[in-house]
Amino acid sequence: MKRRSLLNSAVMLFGIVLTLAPLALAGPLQPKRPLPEPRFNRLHHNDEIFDALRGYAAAYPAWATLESIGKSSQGNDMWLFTINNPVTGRALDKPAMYVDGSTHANEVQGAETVFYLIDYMLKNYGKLPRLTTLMDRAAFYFVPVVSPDSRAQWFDAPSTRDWPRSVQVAIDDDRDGLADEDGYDDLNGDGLITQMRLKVPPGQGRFRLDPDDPRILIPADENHPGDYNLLGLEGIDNDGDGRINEDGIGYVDPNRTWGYEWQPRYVQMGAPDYPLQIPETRAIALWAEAHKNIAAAQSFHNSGGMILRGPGSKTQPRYPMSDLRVYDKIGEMGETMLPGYGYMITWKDLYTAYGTTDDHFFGRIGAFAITNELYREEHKDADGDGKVTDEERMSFNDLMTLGRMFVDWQEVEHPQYGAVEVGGWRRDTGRIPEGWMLEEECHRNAAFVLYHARQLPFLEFGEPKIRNLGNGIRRLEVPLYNRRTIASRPAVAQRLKIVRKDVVTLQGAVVLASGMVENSWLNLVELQKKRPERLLVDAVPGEGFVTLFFLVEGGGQVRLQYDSVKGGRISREIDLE
Amino acid sequence: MKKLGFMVMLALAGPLVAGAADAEPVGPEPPATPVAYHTFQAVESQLARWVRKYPDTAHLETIGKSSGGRSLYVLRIARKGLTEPDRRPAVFVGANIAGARNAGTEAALDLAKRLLEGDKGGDGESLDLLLERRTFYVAPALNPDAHDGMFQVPKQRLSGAAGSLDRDLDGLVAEDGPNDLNGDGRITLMRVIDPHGTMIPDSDDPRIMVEAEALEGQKGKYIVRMEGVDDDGDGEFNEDGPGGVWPDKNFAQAFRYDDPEAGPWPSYSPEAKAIMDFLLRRRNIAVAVVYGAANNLLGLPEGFGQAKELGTLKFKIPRWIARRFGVDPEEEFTGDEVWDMAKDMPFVRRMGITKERLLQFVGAGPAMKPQQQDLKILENLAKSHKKRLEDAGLDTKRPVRDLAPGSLTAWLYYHYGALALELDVWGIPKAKKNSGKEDGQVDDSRSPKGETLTLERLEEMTPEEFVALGEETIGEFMKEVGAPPQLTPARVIQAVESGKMTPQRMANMIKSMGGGKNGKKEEKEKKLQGREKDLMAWIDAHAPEAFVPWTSVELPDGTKGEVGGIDPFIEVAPPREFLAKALELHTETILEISRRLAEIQIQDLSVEPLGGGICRVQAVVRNIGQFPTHTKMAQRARVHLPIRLELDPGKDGDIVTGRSFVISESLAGGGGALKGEWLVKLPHRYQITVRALSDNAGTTSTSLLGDLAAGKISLPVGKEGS
Repeated sequence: MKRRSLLNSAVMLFGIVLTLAPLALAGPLQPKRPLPEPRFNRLHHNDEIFDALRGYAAAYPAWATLESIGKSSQGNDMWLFTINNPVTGRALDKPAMYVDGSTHANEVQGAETVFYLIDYMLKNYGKLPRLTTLMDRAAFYFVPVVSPDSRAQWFDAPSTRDWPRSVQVAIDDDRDGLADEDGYDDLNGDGLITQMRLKVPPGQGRFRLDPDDPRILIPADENHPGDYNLLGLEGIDNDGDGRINEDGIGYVDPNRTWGYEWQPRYVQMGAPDYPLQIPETRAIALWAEAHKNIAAAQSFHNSGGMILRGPGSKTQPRYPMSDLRVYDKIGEMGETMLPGYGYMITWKDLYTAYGTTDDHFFGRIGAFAITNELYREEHKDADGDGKVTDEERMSFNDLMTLGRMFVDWQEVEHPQYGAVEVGGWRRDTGRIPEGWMLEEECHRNAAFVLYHARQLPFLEFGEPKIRNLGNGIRRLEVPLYNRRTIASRPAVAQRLKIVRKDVVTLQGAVVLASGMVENSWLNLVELQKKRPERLLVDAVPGEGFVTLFFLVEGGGQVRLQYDSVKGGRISREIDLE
Repeated sequence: MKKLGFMVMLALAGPLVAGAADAEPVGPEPPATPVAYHTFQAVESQLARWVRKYPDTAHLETIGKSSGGRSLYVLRIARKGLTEPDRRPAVFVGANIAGARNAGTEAALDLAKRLLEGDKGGDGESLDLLLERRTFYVAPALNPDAHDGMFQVPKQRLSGAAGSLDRDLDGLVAEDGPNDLNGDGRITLMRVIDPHGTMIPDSDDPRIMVEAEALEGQKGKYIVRMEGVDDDGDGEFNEDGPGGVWPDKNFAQAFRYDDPEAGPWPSYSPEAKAIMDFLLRRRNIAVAVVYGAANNLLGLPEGFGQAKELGTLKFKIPRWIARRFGVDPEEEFTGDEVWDMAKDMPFVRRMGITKERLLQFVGAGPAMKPQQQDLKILENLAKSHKKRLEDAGLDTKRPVRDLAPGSLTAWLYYHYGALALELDVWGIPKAKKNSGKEDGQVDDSRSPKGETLTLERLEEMTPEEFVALGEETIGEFMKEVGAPPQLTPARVIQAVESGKMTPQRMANMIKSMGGGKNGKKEEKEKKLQGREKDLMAWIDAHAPEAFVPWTSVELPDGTKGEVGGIDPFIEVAPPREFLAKALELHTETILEISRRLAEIQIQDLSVEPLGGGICRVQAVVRNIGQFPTHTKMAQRARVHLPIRLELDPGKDGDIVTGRSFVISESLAGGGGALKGEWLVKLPHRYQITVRALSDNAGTTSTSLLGDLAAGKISLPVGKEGS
């Protein structure tokens, strides 16, 4: 019964197309090739993810497409994956959601979340009605890996939990005329970059060994003189300037490169010379400029358990009230779907950042953009005091991972310091959950994306009111409802002039006048000054409606068409008699 | 009808595209013809001829393509010298990115011609010698898609590159541009009698349309708009014309995010991106001059309206930093207050965090105004430039434009770190015949006594000094910063005398209210708008054909109107022969700039044996130019490498302690020095080398060969090396 009524609304929405299509299409999708069967209890290399995406595209050629929208700094493809129900229309004619991951390459499980979502959507269409109707009326765009070069490097080369965060563009960090000449060095050749510690004569160190667990250093105090110092991450002074690891590979932070409210390097670390200078985000921005049907966007980062929205900086104008209501509704629901996550404003609750994905998609595309910081380490807080200590981490490592997370200290020869010890936490700890926890977090965040997408504008015509004024002239009022939270043209899009107005046309009769009904009972109508055959509408508000007004000459069947960049295109036949 | 108008626009755009597609074959120098402005194609041919004629000096680079597929050219002019051209101190001259500033293109070509033909320079130094020490990058036409607006029919000012925009957001692009209704080949104005009309012919000169003054008993009659019809029938006229993003609005400093003509983001336009990519590969450029719409020597740049300066902007500190400072995260602080809290904290000192660094971290914004030290250089350049104008009989008092938000020049200064200035080359002089009052009151807002108050002076004043200025000076200043009228000078003086207000607090208030520049900006804008009379006076005297008398036309919907007014280009590009003097003196100003650039030289190199093979090596690198090696803005933005002096102790030599190099963030002009001192263990016979490196003040090295037995050896003045 439920499915029937859902189908009815779909029929109403896409009347023309759906009448040609067999209704049985709403069953599960039938793959044309064997489907990829990934398991989400482990991390996937880019190659594995892209192979799987090729697999889905081959299995569901009408629904899923994989296309390259540009090249990365090192010439790798920037892959865009699209899911669109071909029966209900072109993707560009529907409201759309954009999802990306691993803008920061070291935040590898961002891509896993996008990968999970794609897999889940394709395999559950036609099985879960709430998902099915959403996929019938909206298009979904995914860029699983925004920084492919560096994410591959994170897997393939010595790396840390925090690095590489930037793209692979050489920058002279230490301003000595050479670029990337002094990065980390894998001194013990274990394929990992960990810590270096140095034993020094007692009294010269800031730390000492924890008497209960010599893997851990604890601060020295007056009764216990320190005999260890931490030297930072594995590395040597490659360029002989008296500094270690001061100019490693990369610099530009892709999440400081976007094109709205951007600021240069001296205002914020990580910025390039001008916005969208790096090919990765530029490719996405150019593509998005031609896909302004995107009305919702979500980016996956780690860590901390945050649902972040812009503005990234205080210097931006305040968000329009109606847009804030949309954000608050989505963000607050996110807090209930993602235990421990907090809904936050970037500049106020985290830090100031100019030119972020969120700001770009909101300020340039007019989409409600959210960044999720995946994973919180709180589950390691054994004594529940709100802090995770090294002891607690070590106990989790020993008991739950049987020692997987920690690399024991090992002595190696350092050209500047002599004998040092190298060891510490592996790169895939601290910001990334263990495999058995990964799948749950992927799922919860995927479900949150689907809730976010559910708020995409959902336009439906109401019942028309027709009055014959004689002499072949008719007065026509048609209500137009938006059943969801996001307006057909968000206030930010109006304020910044980034999305055209919605356009209404009526075919089959001569339009003498058109406008918007302000109050049907009092007969208050705001007429459009000129060009009545092309009625421009500012927006259909979220969970609201507008009433369209026409004075027409003629009778019989007319066809009313509503064309909204973000609200999609709908039409309705009306009998004027 | 609507369609027709659109077709007309397309047809007009047609020949322009076709014209540039077939490049003119490079032939011999064309016969002397009356001087004319260069079309884009003529620019291309000229550049090609120069490259053939001066293969050793002229090097042409195509740095990219415009939106319409035309080439963006940079002509590098340099002679073989000790340092390779792309490492020498250099000047960049870019012209007409604005699109309709064709006089700028002429000025850039004049400079190139002068440099290539190589006559004697002002100080007696020949240009040939200058070109061995300096490099000039000349880009004569940076917006080729718009460049030919003055040659096309109808003649109209274009600023956008090829493409189309939907300015009115109606889902149609470029559907309603201007139309040449009277068929005179140019787009001028149109006046229509209308019940909503607010304009009337001026009583002194009825050719000019002015706003009716109700209080003078006048009544509006006309609507005045650009010549054209409502092509798309939406009730608006010419609201969505041809052309795409304006390259000169497409740069990041003070970018306008709500202006469709600025583009969706800075660097979106291929012109802007190509120019920046080129310049970022040429960090040897120290000074950049843009020939465009503004004039920064007849009026110093003032920065951008909503200035939120470090120090005065109030903001909350992020929670986790506030915790470290032990302050309430909900409270707001100024940048100065944050720095006061932070400067003595151990982590700030240990990590060498500067005030700027810290403030950016906690969320303070970018620079929005030129740095005082940099303005001083412009002020100094303005003196000699104005002298040249006066000697040539050209007006130095005419009102001029300031830098536009999102412009190339603004980016060059604020982001690229060059000493950057824009010059408009030529402008309509102020009319002489004005009544005595206006004539005597020169544009210069400084009063003759030099008693003018500025924001900078205000900040440094004691209350007593402020009060001593008197009501008149204070009143003028308050008007300038846009103080509300009810705030009289008398009340301000009273507040300061009573101690309720200090000059410093007042300055901060003015700054936080937008720098006090808004009022001044508005006034400037007014001066620029009220120029029809100056224009008509000049036109009557020199180019009467530039006024199109009002003549009747009938619009497609039957309304009657009149078309007429001033030629769209006369104000910015007069008949070419009027430019001659201006071009020559602008070239002279660029040459002057190029001679004054910072240039580093190694001096006073010495090796002093201390015994046991241990020596003290000392060296000094000095800036022998007049300008500093770094603008203050470049220092703040950290976009240039510091000056670096490094020692290579040679084979078997060893630096005993410390690093092999010293750095300085800037060397002042006129001898600013950086000294290096090293303890070095040297063999008996040694050869040491000292190198000095910079981005845009040159690169040089000196070697010293010696014997420990010879005792102390000094090289008084270093020889330049490469």
